[in-house]
Amino acid sequence: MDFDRLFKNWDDRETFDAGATIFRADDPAEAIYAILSGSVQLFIKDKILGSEDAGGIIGEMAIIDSDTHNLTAVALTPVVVAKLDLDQFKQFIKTQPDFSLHAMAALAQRLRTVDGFISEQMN
Amino acid sequence: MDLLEIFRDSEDLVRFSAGDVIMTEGEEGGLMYVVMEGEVEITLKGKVLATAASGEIVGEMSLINSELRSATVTAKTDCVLALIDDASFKSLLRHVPDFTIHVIDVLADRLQKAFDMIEE
Repeated sequence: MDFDRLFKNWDDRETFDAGATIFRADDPAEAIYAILSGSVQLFIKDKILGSEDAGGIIGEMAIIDSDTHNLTAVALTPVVVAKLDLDQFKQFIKTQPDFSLHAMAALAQRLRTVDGFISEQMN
Repeated sequence: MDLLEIFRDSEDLVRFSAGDVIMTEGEEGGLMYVVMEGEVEITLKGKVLATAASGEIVGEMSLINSELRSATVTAKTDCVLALIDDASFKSLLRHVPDFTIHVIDVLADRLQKAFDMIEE
């Protein structure tokens, strides 16, 4: 999905250098991040869970109010993100049906990946 | 969001007895359910991920990504489920934003439970 267009006038952006930590597991999850450019690697307990590129969503645990991140996100390349707090995220979902479907699919995909991780741990 | 109210008059109701397998991990999906009465258990490789009681949804994962079932769902008690097919699901997403938010909340909650399991 074209986040460039969707977040064209979004002021709350943050830029990270390659190698920078975007958030760590157990940090308070205060924002949901929409990746506008670059590539982000996600870690779970020091193991690589996967990566997300432009059009990806990270920090999704902020969707559950006042929770902490479960993953650590590190910029693999220079990264620009748009930050949304929970209210902004919900507003987006209500007004941008394409975004809501995209966010839902992203969340479902993450759940599958994490379930896959759990299955591997059990074997 | 009160799904019981929305599906109160549904004609697509399915009954299961305690112990019945409602869906199996790895199988084709294509349908999801709202629990109208009773309780169901969501398991992964035999380990309980969550239970869903009346008003809650199960089976949404395979409709969202059109992939295979991500977990097994078993009737914990005798239960009645309202069936949502792909067309109804898409229609709800398109026309009822609160339903989309509800599904997203459910997914986030399941994700949290999955992470909690990793911590244990």
